[in-house]
Amino acid sequence: MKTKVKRKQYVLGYMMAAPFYLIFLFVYLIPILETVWNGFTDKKIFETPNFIGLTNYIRILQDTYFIKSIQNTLFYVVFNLFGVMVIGLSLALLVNSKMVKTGVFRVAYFIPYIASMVSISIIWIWMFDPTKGFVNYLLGMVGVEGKRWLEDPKWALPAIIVMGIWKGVGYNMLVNLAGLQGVPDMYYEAATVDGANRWQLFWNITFPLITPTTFFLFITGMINSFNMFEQVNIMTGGGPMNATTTIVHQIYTRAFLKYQMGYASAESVLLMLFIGFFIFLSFRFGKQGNDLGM
Amino acid sequence: MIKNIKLTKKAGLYLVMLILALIFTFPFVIMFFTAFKSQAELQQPYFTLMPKSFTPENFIGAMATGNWPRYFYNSAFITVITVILSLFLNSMAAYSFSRLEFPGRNALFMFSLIALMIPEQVIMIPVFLRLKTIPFLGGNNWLGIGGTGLLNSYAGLVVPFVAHPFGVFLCRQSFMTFPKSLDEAAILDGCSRFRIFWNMYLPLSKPVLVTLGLLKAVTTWNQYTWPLILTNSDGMRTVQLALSNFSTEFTTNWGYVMAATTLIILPVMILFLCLQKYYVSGIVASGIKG
Repeated sequence: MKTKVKRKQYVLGYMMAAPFYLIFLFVYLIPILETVWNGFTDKKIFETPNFIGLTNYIRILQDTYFIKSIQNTLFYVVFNLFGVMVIGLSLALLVNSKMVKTGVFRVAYFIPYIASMVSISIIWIWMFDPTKGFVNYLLGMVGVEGKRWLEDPKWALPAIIVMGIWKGVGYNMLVNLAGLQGVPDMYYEAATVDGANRWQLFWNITFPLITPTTFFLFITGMINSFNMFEQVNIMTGGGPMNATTTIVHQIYTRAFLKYQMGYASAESVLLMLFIGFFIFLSFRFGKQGNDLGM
Repeated sequence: MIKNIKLTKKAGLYLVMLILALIFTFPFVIMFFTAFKSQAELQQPYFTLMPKSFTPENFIGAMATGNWPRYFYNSAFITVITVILSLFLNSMAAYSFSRLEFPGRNALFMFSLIALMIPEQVIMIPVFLRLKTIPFLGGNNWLGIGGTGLLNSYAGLVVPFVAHPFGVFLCRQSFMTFPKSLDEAAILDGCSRFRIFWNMYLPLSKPVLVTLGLLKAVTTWNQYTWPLILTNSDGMRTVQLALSNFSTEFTTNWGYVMAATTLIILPVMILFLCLQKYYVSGIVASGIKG
């Protein structure tokens, strides 16, 4: 009797998890394996693929576009991540102030995160417009000569980074804020009684206690920055002179404009390895205090 | 004296926060005002903020260029279906993973969490190829050859996004807080497991479901890369796709572009401002899971 009830529960358990799990396998897990396999083939879109071993990888090593895209992506990851994390934490500290009401301001800082990347990119193309844009107007007011931001190989990527930071700090602020609010007030009170100044409070109490949050934001932020694509495709199309092409932009171009699926899969594998490598490094060197308890 | 210092400090804080708020919202203000400028005014070769007189002509003109009602319908339809399906599938799996006993339960759940680390950009090629070669659909034969499968279809735009482990994770967290005696009592009363899930667990988890649904709705509405890859017909275009095409076709007509952008941002903003509390709790939960 008991086992029958139990068996019935087994079946129901599998049945209720199955729709989710099958789709999950179909759209996440199997594709990863397929990407790895396709990377060893010359798969196009209609022709039957041939196994070609490491040929794709050897060609990628000589692909100047791809090498350029790695440089651009790393540049973007470093500056974007640094920007959103430092500014995001600063904003969180600011709006965590108990002296003033901050609700409306929190919403204001978070708004750019809600809007789609397409609309944000388009608004910023208009902002960066050389003659009618607000950015050059503002610079003109303080006597700095404006640039042709998105058409200048030297300035296009920094311009996109500025926009990325502007869009992303709100998220970092909110997550940091939750971390800050998890720090018990009594720690600060005790330290203030002992005569600690504000900088010491931050450095010795706040910062160590929110390290898990910082680490989480670092990892997810890194993954997202490595996958940067949309703003580039909309704002510059990878130009001028490939100054803004990123790894995912190269994958997209190869796979969906030139239909070199095998080649693009090999590039995807390299992207996965890059991300995996940097995550590994972060856990290796960020784990000293056993931050996440993982 | 001390009171004075405190007051200045307060004023200083407000000033700093106000300037920052301007930085984050001003581009939207520019968008809004540009959308209401007349064509003549947009020709001026310098920056102005306010339009001389507000005119709705850009909104009318932009919406008449291309099939905008259709694009809005597409985006809304995809968003609604994705939200409903993902809530249903994920909460059902969450009930199974938290309340039903079966071999391999925890291992299966933990295993699904690896997907949180997989960026969609890395797997878009095989998912695209799979959907294209799905048998019997979109003119394909049983080998998945001959037609276009689920390319250019609503199903292809929805299915890859309905089974995200984050939703299962969040629902499971919520379900675990309910006492197990709740299930036992209901079973004694002759209630089936599925009805317990449907009539008790779901209604009791409303806040979590609203949070999840809202996050899903915003990401689906805002989606760009996947529709870009999967669709090429005008009839399947989403608003984001149409907007990005619009800006390249009409680079000179910024009035139209900004009017369309305003209309596309508006629904998301309204949704966010009304349900802010839920959205923020979802963002915070996404941070805590690490």
